[in-house]
Amino acid sequence: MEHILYLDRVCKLYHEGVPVWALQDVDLAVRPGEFVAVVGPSGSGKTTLLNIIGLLDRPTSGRVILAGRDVSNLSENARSVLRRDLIGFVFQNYYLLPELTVLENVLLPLRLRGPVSAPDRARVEGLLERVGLAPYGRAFPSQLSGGQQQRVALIRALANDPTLVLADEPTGNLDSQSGWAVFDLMRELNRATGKSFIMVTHDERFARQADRVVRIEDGRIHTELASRP
Amino acid sequence: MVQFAWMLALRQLRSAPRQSALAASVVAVSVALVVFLNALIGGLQRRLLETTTGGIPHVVLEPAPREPTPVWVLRPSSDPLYVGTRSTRELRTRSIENWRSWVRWLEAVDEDIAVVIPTVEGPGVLTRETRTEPIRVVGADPDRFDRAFGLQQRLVAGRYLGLAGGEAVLGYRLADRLGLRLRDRFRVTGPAGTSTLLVAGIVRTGFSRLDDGVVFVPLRQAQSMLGLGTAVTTLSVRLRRPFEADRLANRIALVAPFEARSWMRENRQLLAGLQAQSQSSFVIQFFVTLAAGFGIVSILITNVLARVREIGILRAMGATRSQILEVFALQGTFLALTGGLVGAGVGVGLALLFYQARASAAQPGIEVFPVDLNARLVLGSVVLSVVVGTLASLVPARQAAAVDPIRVIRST
Repeated sequence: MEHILYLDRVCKLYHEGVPVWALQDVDLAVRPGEFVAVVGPSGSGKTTLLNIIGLLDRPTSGRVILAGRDVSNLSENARSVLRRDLIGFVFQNYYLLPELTVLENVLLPLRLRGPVSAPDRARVEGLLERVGLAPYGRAFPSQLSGGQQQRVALIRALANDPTLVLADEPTGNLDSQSGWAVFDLMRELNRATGKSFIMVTHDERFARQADRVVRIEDGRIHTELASRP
Repeated sequence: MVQFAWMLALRQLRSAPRQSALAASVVAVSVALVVFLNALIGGLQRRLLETTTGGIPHVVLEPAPREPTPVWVLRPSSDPLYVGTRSTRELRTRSIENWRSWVRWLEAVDEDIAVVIPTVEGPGVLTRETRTEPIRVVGADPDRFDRAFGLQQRLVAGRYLGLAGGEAVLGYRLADRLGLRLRDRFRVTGPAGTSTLLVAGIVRTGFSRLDDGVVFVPLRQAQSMLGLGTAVTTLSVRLRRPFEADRLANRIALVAPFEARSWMRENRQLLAGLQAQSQSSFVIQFFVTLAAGFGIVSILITNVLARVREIGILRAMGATRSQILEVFALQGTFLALTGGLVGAGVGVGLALLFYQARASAAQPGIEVFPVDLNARLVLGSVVLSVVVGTLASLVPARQAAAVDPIRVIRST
């Protein structure tokens, strides 16, 4: 399989009083293991793009091929199952469940599938250890710093062993130092696990570290820059 | 699936302890009220029923009155027909001669029949020295009669079981009035002459008809006093389920040559009263349960509204709508179960306390009506609360399942 994700002339039209084209004829192909940064001004369609790739939203026209399968027009339920099995999400506000411990939070995507197997559990605990959060397994999110919470969210996104990790401004709420720590970790995990990452960011410094930078303006892909060979 | 839903449901409830306790309390109060009210009304009805039917047969069978056959009903036949003057005389005591075979038939004909008592009942006049009192003579086999009415247990003095010819048991009020004591003798004049009887026992049944003016004697004694030979006047039937009396009376009247009187037909007013009471208590319980359901709905809706973001994130992570629905429905079920169990306990406790308070304040000799607490009532109330709780939680649960993850994520 050459591409893990393939967008074929994807358009998204919103009707909010007046019709607004959030995306117009977007073509995008992501290879396995690729780290793609999506940049662009506010309201340019970055988040809409991420929602469509993340199967949270449907394109008005065009096709979305994920892991070799056309997912453009699947039912609500089928999309939920694919999200659960193929995609990991990282949000700007971490969005950990406050009443669950760190370990329970990271195991949640697996629990959605059913009972957690011992190897899965060991793998997730290994990831927690790798990012230095193993001692916090029984702590609650409110007891952690923002940077730590975002690292937990990152492990949660990887828990279900997804094909694609989508990160929406993952460093947006963090100070520079914590931001870099989280970004470096994402890059490291991207290389170590071979998962493809798509990260929406405002920050050009992070974007420059990606394999490819996709710039969106007014719902169209403006430029695509491969920053590395 | 269930593992996830249960874990999250219970964690969310635990993280908002006050809200959860409030919801469970709403259920507990309503279940306690339902249990208490039912126990009270059930006890009252049971007592009323006992008072009404304790001293009477549930169904009384008497020979059907039969008029001489009218001429126009007689079949045409070739034989000459002689029609005399129609007799207008009435039988003084209609009786059943072959009662032994009818008792066997009745005891086999319906499983609700607990015991059939061949009974002789008729009028008499009791004479003690110079005083006389009109009475009813009731003659029956003491063993059978006792199985139905428990006379032996209610004796003030003497015995009823093993009553021999020439012996009698009297109601205590009758005995008091005439100054009769154990082993005293008195005379009873019936349609067939006068007998002298010995007081073998004095009974206090609590039914004024029996305590005031009945003389209980063995079957044979009554038969001879009333001049019946070996016949009996009625077959008294006691049932396992008193409310089957109408059905049974109708059934017997259809297939056997008896006039069947059910206690229910003769106590229509009481039954209508009991029914009205049951209905009004049902209405109260219905609204109490409804209120508890609304309580759960409103508290869980608050819960859903407070967790819209979390729900959105769960949906983004791949939780299906039915999984989200499950989380909130389980919360409703759990709150209702907890509240239901606590409420049932409180209801039982209240009913018992109420009974004790009344019993200790009651005047001696006046029985306090009991509370009717049974497993069916208690378990039924808990099950009802769980069903209502689960159904009520479906409203907020559906609301939760409908949360659109995009709107949640976009709004931040």
